Amino acid sequence: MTTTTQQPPTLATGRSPLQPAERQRFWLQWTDLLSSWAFLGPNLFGVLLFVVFPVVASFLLAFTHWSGSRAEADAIRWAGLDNFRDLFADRDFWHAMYNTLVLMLGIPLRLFGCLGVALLVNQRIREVVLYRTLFFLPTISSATAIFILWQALYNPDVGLVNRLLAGLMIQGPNWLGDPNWAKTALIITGVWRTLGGMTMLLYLAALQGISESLYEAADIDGATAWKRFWHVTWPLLSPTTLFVLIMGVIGGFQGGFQQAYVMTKGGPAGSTTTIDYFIYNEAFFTSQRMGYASAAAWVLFAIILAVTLLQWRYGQKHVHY
Amino acid sequence: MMQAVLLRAALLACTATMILPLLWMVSTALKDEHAFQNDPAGWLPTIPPQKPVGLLSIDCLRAITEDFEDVLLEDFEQGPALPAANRALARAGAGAFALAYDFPSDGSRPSVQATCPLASPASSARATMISFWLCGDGSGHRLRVTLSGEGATYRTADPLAITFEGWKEVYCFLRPEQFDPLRQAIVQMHRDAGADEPFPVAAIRGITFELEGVSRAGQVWSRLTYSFRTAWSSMPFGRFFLNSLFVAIAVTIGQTLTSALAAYAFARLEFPGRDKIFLAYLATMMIPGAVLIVPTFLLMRWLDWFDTYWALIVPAMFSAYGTFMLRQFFKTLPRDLEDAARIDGCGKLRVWLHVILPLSKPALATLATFTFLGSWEAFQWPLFATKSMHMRVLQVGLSSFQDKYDVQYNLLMAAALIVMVPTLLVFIFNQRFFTKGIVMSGMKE
Repeated sequence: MTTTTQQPPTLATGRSPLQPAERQRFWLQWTDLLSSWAFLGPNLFGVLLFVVFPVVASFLLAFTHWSGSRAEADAIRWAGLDNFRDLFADRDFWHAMYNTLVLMLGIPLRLFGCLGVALLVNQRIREVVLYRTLFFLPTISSATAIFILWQALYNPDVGLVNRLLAGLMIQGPNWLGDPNWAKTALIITGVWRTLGGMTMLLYLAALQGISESLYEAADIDGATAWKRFWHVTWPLLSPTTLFVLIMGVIGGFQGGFQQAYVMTKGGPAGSTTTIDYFIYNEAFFTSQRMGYASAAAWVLFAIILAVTLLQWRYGQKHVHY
Repeated sequence: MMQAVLLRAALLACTATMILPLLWMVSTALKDEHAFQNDPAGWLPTIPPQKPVGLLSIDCLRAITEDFEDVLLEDFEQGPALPAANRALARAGAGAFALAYDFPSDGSRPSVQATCPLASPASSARATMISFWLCGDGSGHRLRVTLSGEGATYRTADPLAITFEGWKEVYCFLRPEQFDPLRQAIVQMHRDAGADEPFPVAAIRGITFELEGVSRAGQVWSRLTYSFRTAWSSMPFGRFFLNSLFVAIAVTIGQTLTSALAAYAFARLEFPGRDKIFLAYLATMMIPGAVLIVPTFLLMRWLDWFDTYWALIVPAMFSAYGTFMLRQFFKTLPRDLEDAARIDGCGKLRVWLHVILPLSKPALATLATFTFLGSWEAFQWPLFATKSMHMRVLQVGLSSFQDKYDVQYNLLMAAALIVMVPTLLVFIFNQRFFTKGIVMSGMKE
């Protein structure tokens, strides 16, 4: 619904004096317009200063060499496409990209895990609210605290994980100290943390929105439990699945900093450095290369945009509304 | 029937997976270093039996001066003029001062006291700490120290609970200090009267140790809370809490207010360019934080806001998402009420304040809750935007605690629990509200 936009009145009517009624309307319109902008103003100002300006600045910075320092010796220098060229030749960047992609294997795991939990807590049992609360606890807990907890759990000597494995006669790996296992460890923690969280609640809401009559019809056709799930539940959950997937992929590409920072500091041997971590590392920790970090951030943005559009296209074809 | 059993089994397995790590966390936090090292696998903390009779050994009493020089006050080699019962407990051939105690269960003698006169060396340097070695027996009894000298008497502020076993160096600070309670036991002392100016070593005349017996309940309590108390006192967690609370409240008020104002403009008011600006708002929601954070950081430095509350609060106060969510909600409100108010002569501001906002309480509450939670949980921006310890928010403070006490899992778990529990309590008491809000805001995205 587009509204008829009111042009701000102008004084282009030459020098002819305004009639009193006209003058009144003129002032009314002006104050109307001003008050509208007064409503929008504070937020718009903030968004301009803390979103629009940074976007433009970041784009420009991506073409410069700068440490962010105000000292003259570190003056800002034009770099052209150097940063991007260096980035594509940077092994660390590609390693971070690989790490990010591997860590994103957690997304389908989480998706099925959350769906499973949602199916479980969707049953008609009296104490179901208790379970739901229990499963939700890690989500509502401080993420830093949870990551610290899991860092302790993964301790090869005294941690709970390896002790439980030892109970099953399995010699557990040095989870966070071994480049081959660190990513697996982070994925497990990530899935555990969100198993009973938002995604589960979204699935639960979607499950409760499925009409009982569809299941009755399936029963009349003699469908097994599996068939009921595969032919009724799963297709009807597809909008939720698409939503969860898109949000998961967007979050997956730009996530992982906090977890890696708290649990592994990006190591061992850079095996848990995600792109996000790589960018902050370049900007703030090791080198203070603001231009280089900005360039990497824009490459990340481009990837997210492209993947999201692809997913959207795919979703349009395969999602049943 | 079969299905019900399977269902219960699956729920049980799920519960175990979710709850075991949390139980381990609590169990570890209830131990002290000693208990954790001896028995990392035990689920229940072990508490030694109560000790009504015993002996504490004290050795090597020193004063530490302003220039961090050690001045030996008494090494107990010869044994000063002490009652015979208190003399000479062997430790590697050296003598030690012994404090014997015997607390009858009827509570008739709740404390013992022993004074050690000191002939201080003629040093004109001023003492900032007194230190001595203490062989703890894990009894949980509480030690008070009084340092007397010419013109001043210092007393312990809080007694030291002897929860540790074996020799440990105890530091008695004569003035407030930054300290690291992990490596040593710390006692903060206060001067009885007069200003807290440094105290000349030469003026020290004697030291009195007073041991208060604790009940079984007191012993258990001081054992179980040991890690929590140590964690709490080794970093300014109180300050972190206040910082987080202040920032979260300010961000929540700011964001809800500016979002509600702008959302009303987008939903109801008419002005040129409105829909274009709104589209631009929607577009900004796609931009990853990594793109924004570097220039925002530089902007903070340019404004001289780095490491201040301004940097923590102001950039987080404006949200396109909040505006979008409220705009969608305002659009669903019936226009009739508004029109009626307009006809009655209400201006826009009054319509917004008296009609729109009261009708939107659920949406506003949801936005405020999630803004608050988001700010409370924020990690990256507060990590980069602040530097000094007193500006750290809770999440970042907790992570620096972890950097410091790397593998002291009992302390780490205690600190993590200190940070976790308040949010958990708030959640458990407002559960229905939370879950409803999550589904509402999630579906509207």
